[in-house]
Amino acid sequence: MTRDPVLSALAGGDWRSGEALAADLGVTRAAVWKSIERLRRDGYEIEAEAGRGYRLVRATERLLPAEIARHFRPRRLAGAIVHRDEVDSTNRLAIELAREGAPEGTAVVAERQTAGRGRLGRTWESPARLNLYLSVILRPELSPVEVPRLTLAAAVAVADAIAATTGLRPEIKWPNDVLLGGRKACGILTELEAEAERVRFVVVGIGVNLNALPDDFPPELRAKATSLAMEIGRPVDRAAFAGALLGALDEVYGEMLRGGFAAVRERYEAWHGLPGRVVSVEGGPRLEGVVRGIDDEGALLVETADGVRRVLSGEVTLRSTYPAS
Amino acid sequence: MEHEEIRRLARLMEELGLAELELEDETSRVKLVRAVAGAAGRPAPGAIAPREAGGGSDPADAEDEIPPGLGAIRSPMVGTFWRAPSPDAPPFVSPGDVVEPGAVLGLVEAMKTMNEVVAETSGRIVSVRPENGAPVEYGTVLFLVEPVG
Repeated sequence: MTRDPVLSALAGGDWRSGEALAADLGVTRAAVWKSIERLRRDGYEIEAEAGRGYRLVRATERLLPAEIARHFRPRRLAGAIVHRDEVDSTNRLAIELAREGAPEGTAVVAERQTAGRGRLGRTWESPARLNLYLSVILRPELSPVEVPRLTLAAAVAVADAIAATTGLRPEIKWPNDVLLGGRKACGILTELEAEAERVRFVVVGIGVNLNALPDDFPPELRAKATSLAMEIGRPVDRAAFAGALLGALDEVYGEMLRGGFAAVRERYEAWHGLPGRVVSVEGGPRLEGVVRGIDDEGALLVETADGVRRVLSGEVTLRSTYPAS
Repeated sequence: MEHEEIRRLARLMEELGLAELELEDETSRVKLVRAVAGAAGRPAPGAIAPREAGGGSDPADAEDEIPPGLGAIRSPMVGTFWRAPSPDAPPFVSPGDVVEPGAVLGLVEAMKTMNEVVAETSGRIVSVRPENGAPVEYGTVLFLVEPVG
């Protein structure tokens, strides 16, 4: 994704005359004017004054691919970034693009989702221009059995990106919730389409609450949800965060493809908040016990009265906020 | 050798009806032995084969029994089986429905990863085996399908 050369030339925030811009960029003044108009439509605030030229007052608040690309140097995930002001669900659109053959690394971002998807038909609260709604298409050489581990790797990427951009210490709750101060800041929904032994594609959908404030959440979520801005007390640069997240995802994904989940496990465990805590598991095999960690396949290990059990699916609820002995 | 790799080999053995497989590379050596009833191997998953008279019948065999003329669609992974996209939505398919290739038949969830079980060929759904929300294993029969067209 290349940035508009006029935008790059104005990035310093100084006045530049149309004539100088045209000469520097080797284009006509009419072309400069066209670029300025397009940038304004994209939400960049650009001042114009006779005799002085143009000045960039404020970058766009929209999560434009060119803005994200400034903060992301792709390695494996070098696909296009598709931006929508509004979409029903970034996962839904990404699945559609994947079915049409979009390459690995293609990412979908939206300012707003009208039907943001959670697990099993739940919705993901997606107000406009505050947060990050991102879905990434992957085409890994993995068997379908191995794919769920990708969703754990994605949680590692989110935790890394939060730590790198804010200095906060997030906590992962198995398998892939990312919490700040015990409240949910991120949800991940991974969907895959596969034949018996071969993955066609995987879409990793990531919603991160960045700049939402308490009033932006519906009342029933206020006690359970938080945002990065609420935790650090100032707004977050959404494009910078999106770039950091894509970079972290690129890295951890490459690591997993090279070394399997075992290669990612240590990084996951560094953020994992459940070990030592008492949980109950429902919606799969029903059990209760103390979390002992995860294994090389990403399964949660829970020590029950009948010994250590491996949990691969189900809903984990904390039974106590105190570490069990 | 990775756990996953051994699983893959075990599946391959079953598919090819091998009783024994020995493999060596720079880092490891593995020998897999599989109990096989009689001289012939067990048919591949989903394959329709006549039963040997008086052959052993363990519970897994009974569960795997595929009536002649029907095809089985199996779970691609260990997880939880969902018949509908959400708790209050109608099921993706019900017995009697005729589905086209690409139709979503159900979901298998593991670690909050939703795997769509998709029809590969057209057919009539004869039965949906597991209950909604039931845990399923790799290879568990999810749907029995009668080929059409």
